[in-house]
Amino acid sequence: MSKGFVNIVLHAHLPYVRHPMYERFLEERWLFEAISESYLPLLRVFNRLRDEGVKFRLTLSVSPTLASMLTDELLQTRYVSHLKMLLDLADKELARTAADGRFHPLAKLYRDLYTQNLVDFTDTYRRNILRGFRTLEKEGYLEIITTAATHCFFPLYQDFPEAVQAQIHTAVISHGRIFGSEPAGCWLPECGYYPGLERFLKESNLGYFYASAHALLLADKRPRYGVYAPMACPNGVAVFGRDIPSSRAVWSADEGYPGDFSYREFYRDIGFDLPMSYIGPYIHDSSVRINTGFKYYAITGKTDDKRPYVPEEARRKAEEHAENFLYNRLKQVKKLATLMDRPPIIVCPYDAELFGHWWFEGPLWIEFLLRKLDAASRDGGLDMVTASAYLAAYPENQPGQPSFSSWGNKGYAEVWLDGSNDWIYRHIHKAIDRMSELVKRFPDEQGLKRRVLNQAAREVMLSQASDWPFIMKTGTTVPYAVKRVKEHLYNFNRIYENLCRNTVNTEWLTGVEKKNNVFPDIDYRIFGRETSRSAEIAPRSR
Amino acid sequence: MTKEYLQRLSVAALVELAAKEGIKVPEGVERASLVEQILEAVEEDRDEREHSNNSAMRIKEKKYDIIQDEELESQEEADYPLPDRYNETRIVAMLRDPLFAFAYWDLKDADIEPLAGSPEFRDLFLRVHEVAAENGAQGDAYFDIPVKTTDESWYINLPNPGRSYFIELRCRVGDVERVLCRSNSVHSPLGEAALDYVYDLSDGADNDVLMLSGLMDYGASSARERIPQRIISMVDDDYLQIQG
Repeated sequence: MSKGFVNIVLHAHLPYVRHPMYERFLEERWLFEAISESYLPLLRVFNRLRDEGVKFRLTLSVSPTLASMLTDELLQTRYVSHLKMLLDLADKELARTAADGRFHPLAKLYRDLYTQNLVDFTDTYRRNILRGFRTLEKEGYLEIITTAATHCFFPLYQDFPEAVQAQIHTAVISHGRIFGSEPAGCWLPECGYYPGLERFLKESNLGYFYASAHALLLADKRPRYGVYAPMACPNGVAVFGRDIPSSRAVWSADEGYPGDFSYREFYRDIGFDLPMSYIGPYIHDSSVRINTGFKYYAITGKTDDKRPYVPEEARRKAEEHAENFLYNRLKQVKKLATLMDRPPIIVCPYDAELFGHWWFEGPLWIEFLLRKLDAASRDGGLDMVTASAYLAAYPENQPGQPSFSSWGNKGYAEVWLDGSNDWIYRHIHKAIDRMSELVKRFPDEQGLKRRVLNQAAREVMLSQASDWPFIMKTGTTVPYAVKRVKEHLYNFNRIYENLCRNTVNTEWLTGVEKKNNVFPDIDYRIFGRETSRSAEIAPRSR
Repeated sequence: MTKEYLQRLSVAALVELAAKEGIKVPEGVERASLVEQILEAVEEDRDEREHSNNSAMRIKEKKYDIIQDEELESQEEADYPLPDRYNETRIVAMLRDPLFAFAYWDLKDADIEPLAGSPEFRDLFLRVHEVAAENGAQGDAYFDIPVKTTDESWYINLPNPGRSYFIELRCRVGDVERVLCRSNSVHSPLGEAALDYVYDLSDGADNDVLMLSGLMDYGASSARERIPQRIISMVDDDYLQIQG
């Protein structure tokens, strides 16, 4: 019998960014960079491990907005163009660095990366990389779960139950359509939990969720096993707590693995380093410097005098760090085994985009780690597990009411409710109220009016993404985040006012539908106040 | 913000940007010096923002990090006007953390105009009620916060954890006090008060597993460590060690 379990959870999410009216749109690069540097490299790692007989298991949460973008034809086509542009730049870089023994191999590394990405994206996955994750799920390597439809921070909507219900129900329907399966659990955006949220999870057959350590530690009952076993909410939905030491090892800027001096430096990019005359065609609008992905330096230390990146050295470090991570988990399990009467489960959740995008060597670290965990499992030390498998083995868990919590700064809501972003809630809450009012006034519409109401529901939900207040607070691309919230609220209000006047501008509506086309099977009636109706609204996909 | 971007701006735009960054611009300042000062201020801002966040948030930020000219206007040209207000009398409370709630409100013209125009109108204030009882019955405890007729939101310090609060927007006209609107309730979590069990070993429990879960050293906590934020920020602190 295993002495302990580890559940690695990768949460993949990006907000819905799709601008068909523009040939190139700056923020669409968020998706392209994540595909190139995180999702495709991770898929290659998983496939390689599977092909070599490594028995790994992990949990992958894919947000409905990300899944929708990954299956969107326009964005798929644009990603191919983006890759071709990078391959063109790679050829130029190979020529530019031809005489430089330090940088030429790195230019080749990037050319190989983007060439492989193009092959995988177009040939292996026929432009839909979710096929790859779905196959791995069917084969038993991954458990794919869902999260709030547009990744809203739930605690700030707790007095708007129809909005919470709409987020969860729409997520589950979208997951069913895209993955052809019913998600067993839910990732709470930003680990944002408030007591009572579990009611909506249960209504959508979501049996578990993940939360911050203090959701359990500050629960109304002493958590007998701390965060090393789930707690059962009053309605039976299980909550797994995040393990703090595993988080720190990876997340901490100073002591975490990604800050090692041998790893690739994120901030030195030829998009900022090379003359405009050379790099112009590969940056935004030929004039706005941006990250291109071509980065030639190692972190080196707290200095501007960076040394060239040496992939072999970084690879050795990644293996060393994987070994260190495993060593610490084994030590943790050994200690916990003396204190618990069942094997502990160590939950290690991370943002998927950390691996590869910011921490270039992240996918490699995962590969080393999964290999080592598989070996440790054969020695009877530590088994990889998913939350579902754990709950099947240990269905009885200590009852308790977890505490309001998040993984944001100081553990509650201050990142998403702050002087920089608090103005949005007045408007979003009003839109939710108005959406509920529309459902009451138009309880069963068909045809054009139904289209209008469904678009209104999309717009309300898109305005709720936790990314917008986060960006306003942290200061990256703030004008874009502000504009997005305003755009969705404007669209909603326009629809609302039109419906009040019993008019519809079909041309305008069609334009908005084409642009903000997420959740094609949305049903506006989900915003009805009577939550018990939700089960009747739309059949669950299986 | 890149040097290149700043160098493309007019002096007037640079002066405006400098003012926004809180830089005092002396008469006849040289353009190059202005650019350098703005760059420094922006860098300081960025560092401050980064250090005010925990590691999970700092890493999340990198997902959106593609440019350095954060001030660049969004590419999208369309403007999307929002109503300033909805002309309704309403107050909404939101819980930020165990110590603070946020309230926003609006008063419809038909309510505020006669009030503000009355010679007897004295003031507006928020009355924050603490609800102790399980059944939500209003207790005696409350406190008032004066607000102006132009205010529309407020962060409110909640004195006691583990209690429910609701907020009334009230006015005084002459000797009469009136409730204009009442908010929803918010329930502040117990925070550290939930940890009383740490000291209670009467059920034969062992606290070691809790210490390993993140309560290490809690038993010897100082007054500062006893505030909930201290417990929660352990993710970023250095004192959590796995004992071999």
